Amino acid sequence: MAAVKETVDQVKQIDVDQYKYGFVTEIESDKAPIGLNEDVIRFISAKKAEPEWMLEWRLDAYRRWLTMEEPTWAKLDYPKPKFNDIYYYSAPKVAEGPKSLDEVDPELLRTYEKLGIPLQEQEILAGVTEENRQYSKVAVDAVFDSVSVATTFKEELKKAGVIFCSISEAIREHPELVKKYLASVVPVSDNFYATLNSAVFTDGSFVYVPEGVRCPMELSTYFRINEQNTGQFERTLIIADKGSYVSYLEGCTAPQRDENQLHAAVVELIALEDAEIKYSTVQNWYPGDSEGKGGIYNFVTKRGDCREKNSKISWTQVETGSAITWKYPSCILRGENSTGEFYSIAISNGYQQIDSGTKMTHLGKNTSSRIISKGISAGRSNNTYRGLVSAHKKASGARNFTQCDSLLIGDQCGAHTVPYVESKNASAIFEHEATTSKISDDQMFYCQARGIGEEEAVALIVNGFVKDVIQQLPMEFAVEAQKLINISLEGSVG
Amino acid sequence: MTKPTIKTAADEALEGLLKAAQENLPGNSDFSSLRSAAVSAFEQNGLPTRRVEDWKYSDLKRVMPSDLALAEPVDAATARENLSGSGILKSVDKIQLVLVNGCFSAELSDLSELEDSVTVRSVSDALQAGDFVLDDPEIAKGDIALSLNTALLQDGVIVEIAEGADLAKPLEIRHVMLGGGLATLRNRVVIGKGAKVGIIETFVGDAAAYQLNSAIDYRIADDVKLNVMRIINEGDQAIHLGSTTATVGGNVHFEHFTLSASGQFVRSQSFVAMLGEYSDADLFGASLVNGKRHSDITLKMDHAVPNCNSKEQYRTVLDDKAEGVFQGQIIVRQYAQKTDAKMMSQALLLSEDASFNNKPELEIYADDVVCGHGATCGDLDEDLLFYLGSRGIPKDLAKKMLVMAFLAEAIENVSNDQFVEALEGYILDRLGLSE
Amino acid sequence: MLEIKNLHAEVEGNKILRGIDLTINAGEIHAIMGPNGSGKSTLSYVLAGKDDYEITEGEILFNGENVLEMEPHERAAVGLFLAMQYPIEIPGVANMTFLKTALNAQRVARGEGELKTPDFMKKVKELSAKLNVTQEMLRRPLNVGFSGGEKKRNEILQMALLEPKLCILDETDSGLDIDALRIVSDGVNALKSPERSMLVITHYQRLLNYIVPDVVHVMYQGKIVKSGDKDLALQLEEKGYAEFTGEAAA
Repeated sequence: MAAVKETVDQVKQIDVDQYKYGFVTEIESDKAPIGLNEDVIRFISAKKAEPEWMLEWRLDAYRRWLTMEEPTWAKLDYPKPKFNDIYYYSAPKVAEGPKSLDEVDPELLRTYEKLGIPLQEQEILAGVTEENRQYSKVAVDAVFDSVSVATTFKEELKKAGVIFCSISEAIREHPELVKKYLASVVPVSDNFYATLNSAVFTDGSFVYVPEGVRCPMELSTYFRINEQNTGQFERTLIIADKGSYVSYLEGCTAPQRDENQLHAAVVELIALEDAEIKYSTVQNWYPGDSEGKGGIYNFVTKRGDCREKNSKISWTQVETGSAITWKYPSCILRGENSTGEFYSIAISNGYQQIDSGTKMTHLGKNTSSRIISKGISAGRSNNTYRGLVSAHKKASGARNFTQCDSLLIGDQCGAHTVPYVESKNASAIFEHEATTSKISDDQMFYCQARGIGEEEAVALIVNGFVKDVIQQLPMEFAVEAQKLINISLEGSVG
Repeated sequence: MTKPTIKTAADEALEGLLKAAQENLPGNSDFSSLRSAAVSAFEQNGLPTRRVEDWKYSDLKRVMPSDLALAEPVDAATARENLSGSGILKSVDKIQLVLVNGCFSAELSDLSELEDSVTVRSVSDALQAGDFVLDDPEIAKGDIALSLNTALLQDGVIVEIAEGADLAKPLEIRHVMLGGGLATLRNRVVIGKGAKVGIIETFVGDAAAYQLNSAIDYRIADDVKLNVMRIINEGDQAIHLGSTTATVGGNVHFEHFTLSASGQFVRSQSFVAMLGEYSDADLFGASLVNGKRHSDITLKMDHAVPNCNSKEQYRTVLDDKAEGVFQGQIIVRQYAQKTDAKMMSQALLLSEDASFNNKPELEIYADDVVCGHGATCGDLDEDLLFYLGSRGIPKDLAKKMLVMAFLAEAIENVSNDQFVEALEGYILDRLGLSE
Repeated sequence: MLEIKNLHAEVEGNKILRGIDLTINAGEIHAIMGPNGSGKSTLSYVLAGKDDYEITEGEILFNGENVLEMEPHERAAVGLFLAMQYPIEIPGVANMTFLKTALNAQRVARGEGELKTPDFMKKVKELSAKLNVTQEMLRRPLNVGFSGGEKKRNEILQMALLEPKLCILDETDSGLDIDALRIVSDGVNALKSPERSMLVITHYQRLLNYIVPDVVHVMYQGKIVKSGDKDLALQLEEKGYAEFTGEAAA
């Protein structure tokens, strides 16, 4: 398929020696004063031209955050971020918000080009055959440091009734939807990082798919942290109204820097009756250098609410970047017969530390969930799956299947599995399976005996190991993800 | 960083008891300083809240009573009256060592029947003599139940089995609680190289409200074969905190089975450290929990050296409003290559009000290993019930058969056929299936 | 012996049986054939009382008694036996224990009293020898690790031991090679008697060479669409089900 080939070529162009996205873009930026206080929050809110209620909401979150402590239960070891040495707002300088792609700083567009993101519409279409075109279109919302710089295909989505814009725009243009759904899945004081995000979030995407609409294309956001000492706090809110369907993709990169940068996002998904949301992430933030210096701290709260019956939320993630990952995309299965899925590949190399997994909370009758997690540890990294599956008293007929596999490459790394399975309903049937192993010598020998080099053999076997999850990704993403996995593991053998 | 602990009435009561008891407890000055350290640790932290990860599912703060007193000594004659008859392994021929309310009773024990290769003495004597040293394995360090055990330790039994001994009969360490109150004991079993040993630990008590903090420490030399049967058959109002620590030498076969049959609140925790190569540890268990009982099996298996295997397999049946907990952790350290460790925890919920919390954990730092765990919970399989029904077996009987079958799979791992028979007999009896 | 009148059944709202009428007299062997998905296995499960099916209309009488009001074990006790297409595995329950429990439960339900262990053992030994069921298979947990053929032989062993009045054989031939098929059929034929009826459900005519039916029914879309003597099976073998499905023979 041409689209696949195109993506492969794009990925190939990327220099494979080190972190591929480690360049810095020289753009003049507009920043809030360093540090965090109520004035900074007022500054952010004013920059975004937000209504008063939003500012109050932020300030309330900030005050609550001041009383909270950082969670320490994860299997992560890192110096605490210094919250007062971070810029909470950084925007590329433009006279006014861009009205079309033509107004976006060409330097920025070149950055996205380097990242291999087909920002401009004609690029997105490159290599896609005529008859496939409408199915393979990807609408992109690109977030650069703190602001959304461009959203493509807006017009076409509008025709279908889909709202896809930056969250800042949604606060201004669709306050009724934002007020109704914001923080309805992740409450303001849910956890330390979510509360911080509520106070200072700068941008992110907003999607509303109206009743009965199947979103005509994949929606996508690319996040990039560019500025030094900058935190990125995006907020994404996706609502799938009754009987609708949307598939959403998210990609992330950051330049190479010596110091650690903070990323604390909140993503909320709401699926109403018979609606389905598919959310895919390829996270490739800068992981730090070979000595473990620098890299992104990635503290993310992602949660979906299957609010009404027969709804479905599916999370797929490929986590290859970040120095520290703390992330548990979860599903609240409230509606009867609702379904939650979590498919994950988490790869750690160098000194990376990942503590990631999911929570499946079965509240409604006949709800079902499925967890497939594949962890690969290499170098001196530590990779933990942490998951909670629970059935509440009324969740009769709940079903869960969990498969959690870890692969270790080298004897300096760690692979850990911490599942919690809690059942308060006799008719809930939960099954959990986990394995940990290395690539067997027999498999390696067999590949090598057939003339396959060591690195290639590892790639081949790893690809087989993660196949179940890769298959869940949209085609355009799958190829890219696979390549990324291979790159992440380079130098891990021998 | 550490927040001050909010103390409950149970915390206050235990703290009071800890301080008051110190004077009268046995031990030389070295041991006293260990005790004081444990007491101050308790003063600082109190009983664990549910925020303490290891006690997340077993709320000691809630179950410990606020009117605490040490259990009174019981004379041998009274104890003997209460000893007769009962026992899940009554059909098994064994040599008994008896502890009543936490204190070793030479009079009630079959000391004269002991083989020459076995020596027995009391912990309180050893404490006074200053030759009872506590050195818990790394993975047990900081454990709250063990720390409380140190703070209040009264007595226990030290069993030493000579190198190469092959015991004809299993030794039973029988713990009896009578008349209520709190008792604290710690046993030690030291097994010499190449010995073949069977140990039965039995816990029984009357209907009074009592709290037992019991610990046992197995020191297993190379080439040993050890079978342990741990039978928790406590009284209806009992709070049982039972800890097992084991350090396992090389080329050992260690088999350990726990039956959690009764007691209001049972926490049975094991800390096993594999310290010699080419050893196998098989840890199994069956729990039958009904009424409003709470039963917690907690397990930490530490693979510190290469080439060892461990298997952990636990099955729990829950009825009425019972709560079950399984927490299992396998740690494979960096040098423990070629470890093969498998853990499985399965629960059967027979009632709508029963609940089960399952937490099987792997923590792995070596790459050339085969490790896995599994966990399931659910009710009886409708298809199986239908199949049995279609062959003429009424539903109630079919259910019991399936419960028996479920537990039998855990029990059949026990290598001693006499034990298997006795355990199956007990469960059949309890299910009302015996002929 | 068995009377099925206008039987309708559905599962999760899907109508599977749409008006079955069938009468089987004592001593008769009936065969039901039909393409996949015609409702054959559903009929067998409904007769045995699996509760996944909702009976929306009709009745089933067994020697005049209303079967639909009985639990599965009560149906077994009055003499209904279903040899399943996929016999269930029950880990932890020894085959022998299972056989004894089942036989005695039925005997007690019929007021016959339990069979003494030695008598039971003798009976099982005799029957298992005929069916090539080894001692080892009797000791092992029920059907666990049994091959396809072993499972089917074990089903027939249960049938022989429990001596039902009506034997329902659901695709008993599936997954059997020719030798296994012969052993199973011989076992079934040995049970033929003027008091015992059989309902043989099969996709292929092959089995009916060994167990010769008095009546053959064709089932399609939840109904019996044609009945005839044993030659009907041969016709079906030759022409397939095209006549009923409206498709060309594959």
